[in-house]
Amino acid sequence: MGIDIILKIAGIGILVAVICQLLKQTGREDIAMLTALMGLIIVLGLVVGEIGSLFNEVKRIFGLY
Amino acid sequence: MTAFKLAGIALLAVSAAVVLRAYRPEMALQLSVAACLFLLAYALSDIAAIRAAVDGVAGRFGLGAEQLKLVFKVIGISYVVQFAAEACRDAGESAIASKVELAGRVLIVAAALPALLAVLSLLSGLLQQAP
Repeated sequence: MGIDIILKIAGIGILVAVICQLLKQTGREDIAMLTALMGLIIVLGLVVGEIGSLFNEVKRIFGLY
Repeated sequence: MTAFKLAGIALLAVSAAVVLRAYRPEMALQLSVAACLFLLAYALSDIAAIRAAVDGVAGRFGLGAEQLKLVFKVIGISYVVQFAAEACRDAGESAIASKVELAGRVLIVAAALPALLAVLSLLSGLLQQAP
């Protein structure tokens, strides 16, 4: 894992915020909500994999079984 | 140098999280979790080397492998639990954070209980030997 995941999440967040603003301006609140949810799911997918690998690393180093 | 690298990454992540928090607070939480993961992974790679060194010299100072294993187990539990608790607290859920910490403390006590019992039985043996 590298610094790129932090930048990726920041980029996705800003993109989702801009898309949401645009959709809200044009009056499509429901699609804006779905976009926000989709962005959250994508970011969660990124983060959960990293959390799993970190926990495995902790388990291996500290001998937690 | 690694210290400057870590400081730079932390500052970068914090500024991105502050910008993001105004628009999408849930994304800011994910960002801070990712940054914490990254920094913790950096620390862990060094901790592995430290543990190998400590394991190497422990036998010379009369420390049993079992006690050392226990100490590292407790450190591991506290790292994981504190990571989760701080993420919860960042999101404003201090109730969940304190429950996670409580559960972690109970886990640590449960892990350390055999050592505590061994010390107690050693003490009682010593007291019975005394006239």
